[in-house]
Amino acid sequence: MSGADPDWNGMPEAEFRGILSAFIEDECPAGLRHYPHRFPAETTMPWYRALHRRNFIAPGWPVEYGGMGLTPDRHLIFIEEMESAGTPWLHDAGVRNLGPAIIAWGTQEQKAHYLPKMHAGEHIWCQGYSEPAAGSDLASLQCDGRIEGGRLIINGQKIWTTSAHVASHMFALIRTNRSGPKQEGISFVLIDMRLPGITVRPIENLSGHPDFCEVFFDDVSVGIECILGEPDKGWAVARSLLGFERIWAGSPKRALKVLLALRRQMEERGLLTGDYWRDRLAQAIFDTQDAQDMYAGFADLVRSDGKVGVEISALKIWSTSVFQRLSELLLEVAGSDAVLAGEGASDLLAPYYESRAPTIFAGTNEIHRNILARSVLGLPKSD
Amino acid sequence: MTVLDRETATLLRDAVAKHAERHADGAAIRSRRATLPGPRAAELAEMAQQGWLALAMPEDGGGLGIAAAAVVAEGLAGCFTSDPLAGLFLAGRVLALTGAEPDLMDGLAAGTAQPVLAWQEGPQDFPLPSAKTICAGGKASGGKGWIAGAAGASHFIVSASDDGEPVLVLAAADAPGLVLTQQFRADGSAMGRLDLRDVPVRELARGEAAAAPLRRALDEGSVLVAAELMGHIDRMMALTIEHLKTRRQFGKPIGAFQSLQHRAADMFVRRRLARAVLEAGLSRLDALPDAAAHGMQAARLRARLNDSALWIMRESIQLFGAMGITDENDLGLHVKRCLSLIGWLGNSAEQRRYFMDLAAPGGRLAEGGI
Repeated sequence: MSGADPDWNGMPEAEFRGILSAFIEDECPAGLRHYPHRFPAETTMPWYRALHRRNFIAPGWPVEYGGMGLTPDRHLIFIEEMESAGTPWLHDAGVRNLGPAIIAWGTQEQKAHYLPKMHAGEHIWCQGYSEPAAGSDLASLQCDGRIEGGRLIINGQKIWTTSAHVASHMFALIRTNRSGPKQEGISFVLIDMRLPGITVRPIENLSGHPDFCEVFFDDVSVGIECILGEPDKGWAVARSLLGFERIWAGSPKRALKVLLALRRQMEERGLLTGDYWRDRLAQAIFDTQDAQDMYAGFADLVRSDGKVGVEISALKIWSTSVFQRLSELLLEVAGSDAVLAGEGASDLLAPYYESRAPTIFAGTNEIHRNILARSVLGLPKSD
Repeated sequence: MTVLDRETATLLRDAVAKHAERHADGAAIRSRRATLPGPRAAELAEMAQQGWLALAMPEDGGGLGIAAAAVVAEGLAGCFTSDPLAGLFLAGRVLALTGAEPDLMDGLAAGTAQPVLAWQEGPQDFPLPSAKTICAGGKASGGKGWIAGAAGASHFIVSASDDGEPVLVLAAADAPGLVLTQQFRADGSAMGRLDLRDVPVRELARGEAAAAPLRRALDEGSVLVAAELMGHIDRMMALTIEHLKTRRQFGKPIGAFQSLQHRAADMFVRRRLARAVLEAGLSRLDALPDAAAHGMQAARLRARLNDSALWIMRESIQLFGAMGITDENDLGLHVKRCLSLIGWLGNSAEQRRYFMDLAAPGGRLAEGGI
């Protein structure tokens, strides 16, 4: 799959950017560009498959699994090119999140079965963690898994499951043992969503899009080989993947997208001739580029020792806050135009809506502040 | 291009830390406020002996680039001030970048000469340092201010205009027509004001050969200040976290209250961001030969360090409560030093303006420079 690929990390930056932008021009339809929401999967899958064919779908994976093996700097350039061309958000929780965990924890059979189909877009993955009574307090989750013979029988509910209505598979945390502390007895399970007993109910979000869902399990039976890592030890798998997720959740690419929209709007509205809006734009640029510096620094650390330290919470807090600030600045720039419901790239409200979730998902920013206070600064336990 | 290798950086960092620890004397700093030469990290001879004054040397003459100078400035925050490092560094960089007066450069490195840079004429000159000081027929007239390290200076490097062309000229401190007075900063350190009337000068550089080195030296000086701010940020943060762990109210350490924990966490976010921006910037700066790219990188770096410092100062004082507003608390020494630095060589508003001037629409900004 990757034998003929050039040395992406070694080639001159301009050449790398040129290859990417030419590829985007050729393969990504104009109608998909600069759209502020997530399209339905069927709309974006041709673009997903084009990325797969060119081997661009998993920039962060090692080369031997079909990734590009990009260094953090190159990965950022990759993201920049994709964002400045306005390529659409994909249903890619699989390659982005689960893939690295399967590479780290999976058996040979699991790697051989899941990774190529994920890469090709044959499997679309969603993440089943949160439950109605287990949000920030995730480890108190109750969705039940009963081991019977070689099978795992699942009963219960997940909620806030992004893209569950279009996913073919879910990676889920399931309670398989109730005897020990709450973090123990959880298994990390790979579930085929087409199995009997699974019901999905989409939930419309503030922007009017069905981005997340409730998922119900009623005697759903999967093979024991669907457990990633050891049974009852799924919390460790989830934690390692939370590391990848936190890097992703702290990615400055969403803020960068709004920054580009801000610049466009300011130019179109002729605002950049005056000191006031120039100063506001400079602050937005600084906030975003500084987030990029912090992101690249953490990505470097991860690459050098393979671990994501607890300090990564600072990145998530900063990047998601900048995303929100910039979306609110966009409304200021637009004046009364901002009260009008727009469409597509001219939908000025979309970044406002889209920037609400990131301060909540992947651990609310308040949970991350708790982590920093306790684990990094060593402050005493609060009651 | 110079790359400061890890081993050299560690040696330098350790040496500076040792010095700062020995000289971290808050009482001495307080007693030297508003005197001459004022609060200092070290005497000139000691700075020279440590090799810190040679950091501004051209890279083929033993200089180690801005990253090395930054290590020294950051470490000296441990003894509450890096003075008179920055003023001498500015002059040294102008000499190194113009290649003029190599003997004076050697004297500076050896601690036997004390040239300082007199470039500033107004409080917001950083984005566009154009001089109204006139130079004609080998004589300079005008006024300069905000000159760091001027107490005891042997020479002044003065920016001026000769028939509309920018020039850099050298005046001896005892030259006729030159009058030096002093003002004091928030931390009690002195800044010189220079009044020049037909002062005999020697030309160092002219035209672009004067303007470009001056601009780059100011960018580098601004980054040096940012590095010292990083040192103060770390120390204010450490003092405050220690206070949160030890100060008890309502029967428990105040750091156990979640409202204060979240404020402390947000301080950490600002500190961690500043560190990331400083390190990323230092790793790039020496390799940016293009003046605009160098200026934009330096501006963004400095603005973040200014903003994070102000954030940490505000939160530290608040979390210390009444103890935060006493002059007895060493926190205040860092606060006053930061106030003395943030408005010099470009506060954040000046940095944003400078950045946007370099990134003007139709230029870099439109090409995807952001």
